[in-house]
This record gives sequence, C-alpha cells and structure tokens, in this order.
Amino acid sequence: MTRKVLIYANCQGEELMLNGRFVPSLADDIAFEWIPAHKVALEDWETLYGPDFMRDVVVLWEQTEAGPIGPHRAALYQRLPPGCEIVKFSPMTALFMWPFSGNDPRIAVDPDRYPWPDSMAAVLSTERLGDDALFDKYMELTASRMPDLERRLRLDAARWRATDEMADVKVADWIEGTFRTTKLFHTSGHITAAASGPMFKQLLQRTQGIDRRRAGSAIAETDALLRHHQGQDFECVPIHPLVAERLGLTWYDPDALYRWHGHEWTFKEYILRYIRWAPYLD
Amino acid sequence: MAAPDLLTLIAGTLGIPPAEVTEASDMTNTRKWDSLRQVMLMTELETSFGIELTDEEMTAANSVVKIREVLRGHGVG
Repeated sequence: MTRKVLIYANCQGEELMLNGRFVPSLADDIAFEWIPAHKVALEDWETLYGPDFMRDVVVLWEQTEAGPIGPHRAALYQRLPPGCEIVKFSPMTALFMWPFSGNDPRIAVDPDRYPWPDSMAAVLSTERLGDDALFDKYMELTASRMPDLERRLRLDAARWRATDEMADVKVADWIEGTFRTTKLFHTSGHITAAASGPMFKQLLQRTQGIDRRRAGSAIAETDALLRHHQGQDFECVPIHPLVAERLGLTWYDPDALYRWHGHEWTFKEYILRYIRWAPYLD
Repeated sequence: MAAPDLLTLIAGTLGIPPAEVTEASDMTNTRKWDSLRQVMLMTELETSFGIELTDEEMTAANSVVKIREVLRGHGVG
C-alpha cells in the first residue's frame, strides 16, 4: 500500500505536491496528490476523487479559506479515511504589490491571454499612441492614482491573519517580515520557490504521519531541490517601479526581465502588450 | 476618468461576463466572488470613484445592494 499525503489547495498546492514527489527521502514511502480546490467540480467527488483515490490517504494538507465551509470542502471531509491527520496552512496572496488589480472587461471575453488584471492599463486600451507616448501616459496615470500601499499591505495582512487563525502553518508574520528582502510572488496569487520551500518544510515539520527521520531528511533535501527552481513562474507580472520604491523592495531590479510563457519582457514591454492586449503565441 | 456603471465594474473585476451580475448578486451566488476578489473589488471601487472605504465598509459591502448603499454614503452612488 502506498500511503498518500493529499493536498487540498489552490494552484499553490501543485508546487507542494511536486516538491513532495521529488525529495528522495520520501520517494518510496509517501505519494503526494493534489486536489485543485479552485477547479474541482461536484461530479469529481464521485469520479476522480472517489473511494479508490481516498483509500490510502493518511494525511491531508488543507489550505484554509475564509468563510463558511462550502460543498467541496464538505465533500472532502466526508471522504477522508478514519484517523486521517489534518494539517492546515494558509494561502499566500499579494494584491498590495499589484495595486491596480481590478476592472478589465477584456478578461471575461478572453480569460487566458492576460489573466492578471490592471485596471489603469485597461483604461488606456483605446488609445492609439506610439510606444513611448503610451507608456508615459500609463506611468502618469498610475502615479496620479497610486494608492497608499502601506494601507493595501494592511488589507492583505488582515486576510492572511483571518486564514492564519484556522491554520497550523501561518503566513502573515512571515510574509510581512520577508517580502521586502526576498521575492515571494510572481503574481498576486502565484508564489516563488522562496515562498513554497519554507511552506513545504513547515508542513513536513508539523506532520506526524510522516516518519520523523525521513521528514528531517526531506527538509534537508528541500533547499537543494529548489536551488534553481523559480516556483510558479510561467506568468510573471512585472512590479511597477513606483510600487518597488514605495514598498522598499530591496531585490527589485528596474531592468529585470519577466517571464511570460515563452517570452521575457521588461516592465515597459509587458505593460505595452497588456494595454494593447497583444497576442503572443503567433 | 468617468466612473463606469457599477454592474459592469463588478463583472470586469470578477472577470466574468456582465450578464452574470445583477442587482441580486452577492458573494454567495456569484461565480468568482471570493474573499480575494472582494478586496480587489473594494480597492477598485476606491480607485474608480475616488473614495476611501473603511475596513467595516470593505467587509460589509458583499452584495450589489450593499455596495450601492456604501457608495451612496460617500455621495457617489
């Protein structure tokens, strides 16, 4: 029988699952599986995640969520084998670093092209200007509309604390103490390996259902596993230079290139493409 | 920059078609309207209407009806 650690989480759970699958010390002892909490459909509980899938689950790593227990989480609890250990952890999000995450009607029509909204860029989407003039206009508009970022940080921190209250592995203090000196986020919802690694190690430390000696070895192996890993970097939304300045991000590089699937763009190149909703798969 | 129609703004922030948002929409009956999008929506209201919401308003305004009440309270509804 293969014992399973089941991860119930948003896409950050996939990172944890992959970490688990590739640490040598757990390879012949524990299988890691992930149920994407943001995508699961009710019928999946009878098909993909039925009794055969759940039978060998000995540990659940459950990402916490504010609000009442929804039908999917209830379905999960109903199907867990008796005695299954549950270790809860908070999600990591960072709207404060992308303060114009908001209204862009184009996303509803074409959700996959640029899924991380910028409402100020959307406002400029009908402008017919050259690159420099359009970029200057975006910088002017965003500078005039830049909110109080410390307040935005406080709003995010309140959300982190709300989910931390239900979690064994908490994130609020750690993110607040780390984000200025270490890049933790590629987008407001996607994390770097510098964020997923410590979370993975904390979960291993907290989980009694994994042999302590193996867990200790796996924790030691994690840094090597992730040394060259960038985390969820298939879409990296550039940081606005004024955001970096006002938040005091010491790791910020104004000339940095940001991966966008098969491309690497500067902040300016990304913003111009976003404003124009430019295709990038041609 | 003129403030957009509220239902259009909510749909655009949630990333769903405008037809999915009505006067009866709230966090419990609207696709994608979760706690993360609630913060996005509140900060988008601040940016679009040039107002600053209190923490209590940000938590309470979890339906179209309640958002309209909050905006009226700021004189922009």
